[in-house]
Amino acid sequence: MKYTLREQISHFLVQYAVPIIFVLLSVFAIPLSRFSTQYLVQEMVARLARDSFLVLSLLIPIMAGMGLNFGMVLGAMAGEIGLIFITDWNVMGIQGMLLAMIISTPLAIFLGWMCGVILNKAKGREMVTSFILGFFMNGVYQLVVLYGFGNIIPIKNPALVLSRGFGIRNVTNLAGIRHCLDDLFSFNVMGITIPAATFLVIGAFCLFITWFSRTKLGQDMRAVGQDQEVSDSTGIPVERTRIISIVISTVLACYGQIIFLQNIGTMNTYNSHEQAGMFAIASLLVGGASVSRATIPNVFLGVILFHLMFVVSPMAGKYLIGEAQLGEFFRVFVSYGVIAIALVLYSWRRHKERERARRSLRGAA
Amino acid sequence: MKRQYVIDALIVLALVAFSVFLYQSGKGYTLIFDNRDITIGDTSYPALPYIRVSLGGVSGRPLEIMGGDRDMMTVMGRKHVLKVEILSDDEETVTATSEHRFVIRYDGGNLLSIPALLSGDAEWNRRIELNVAPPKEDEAPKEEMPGTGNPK
Repeated sequence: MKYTLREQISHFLVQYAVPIIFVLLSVFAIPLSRFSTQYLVQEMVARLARDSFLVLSLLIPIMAGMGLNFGMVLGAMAGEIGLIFITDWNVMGIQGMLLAMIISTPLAIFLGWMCGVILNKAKGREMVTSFILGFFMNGVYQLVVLYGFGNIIPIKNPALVLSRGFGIRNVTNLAGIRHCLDDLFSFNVMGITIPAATFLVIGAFCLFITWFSRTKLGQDMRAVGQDQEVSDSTGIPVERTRIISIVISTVLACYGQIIFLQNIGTMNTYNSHEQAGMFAIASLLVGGASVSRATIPNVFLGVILFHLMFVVSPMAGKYLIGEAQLGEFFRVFVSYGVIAIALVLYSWRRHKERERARRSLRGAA
Repeated sequence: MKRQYVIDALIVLALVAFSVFLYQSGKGYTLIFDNRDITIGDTSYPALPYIRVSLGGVSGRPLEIMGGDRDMMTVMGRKHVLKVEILSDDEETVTATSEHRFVIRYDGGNLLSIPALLSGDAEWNRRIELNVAPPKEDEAPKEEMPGTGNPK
């Protein structure tokens, strides 16, 4: 069935409503913020290097039909535990970063497996379940880091431990591994620093996702994502496939958080992971992804658009209303709002697509 | 099945070995380069007027230390090559240069006495107690609404 031009435009607008809204907001806010082009480009390059890995880790569960993995914060927590250890042992540079990854991998695998098993028991409600699971594990994390470290798990570095003798301080200084990956190999283009090593890692990850989606397991995930019952009847181990997708996502989120924090150079011990999940998911949705479909270009477009808004909105707010704080509120509003908009649009889009499908069937008859 | 276990065990062993390598090569040490008068046993070594020290493979500016002074450097790994340049009174001309391969002896508080090193004393790398002040007192984290922070 052929669609009219009006229908095609309407379909495009519905499909890309969120990125379009963000492009329009950016077009409005960039001149108001009075930032130079060079500054904005440098900021976007830095943020692409910092955040892309975390956002990419969300793609595999979407492929497996498990929606947006709010449980990625579990991986982020595992990564932070690895970072606490290497900070205590004073292992620096790229070696420290790799060691943190190795230490946190078994923990991330365990947490991912646990998350996968729970999500299998909550089929159809994966997103809300993983969201609440993140809160639950945050409590466990706080218990371990606040009471276990220094008590049960030995921590020697006095700069890390609270003065009472156990528990980790609010802020962990990651000066030893700060920019270790970014500065491993970087170059300047017209005054803009490109952290080439980080982009190479991100590029390798993109290749891995592309390769993985063509493997037997990747195809199984796609099949499970499309229809679990049909996949089950064709002999695909549905539950196992779903667990594997969550384990891979959690481990990659763990590495993503380590890459993110090596760029920042300090870790907010009790809060960094909470922010990771929310902002990674919001970025992906801003890039035009949906709960059921996400691609690599969605990741990069989303990170650029979302962070562009975050950079320009406080200054735009300051020059427009004379109050930078309003821009700050706008940041928080945007991150939660975009998730809400994306979920509503997803539901609406599905309804519309069903309607289109029904109409096309009628047309064929 | 048994073969798979062997492969898994080998992978785990390789990862453990790699972790040990990463730990050894990435461990950070704070070195205190000392250019003061020092007495080791019965022998006294006078400070040098002005020296420049650098470690092979360690990026960053070399340290220039006046007589009676100390300076610090943080390095990765235990094995290093230390280059000492003795500078003239005008502080521009290098009058003597020497290179020394060494292995850092202690996990913390490594004091490297340059006068003792140049005089060939084996005890030039000594351990001192560092009184590192912990960061300003902070309390257990306050309860916060999740996700209200800004993305960095």
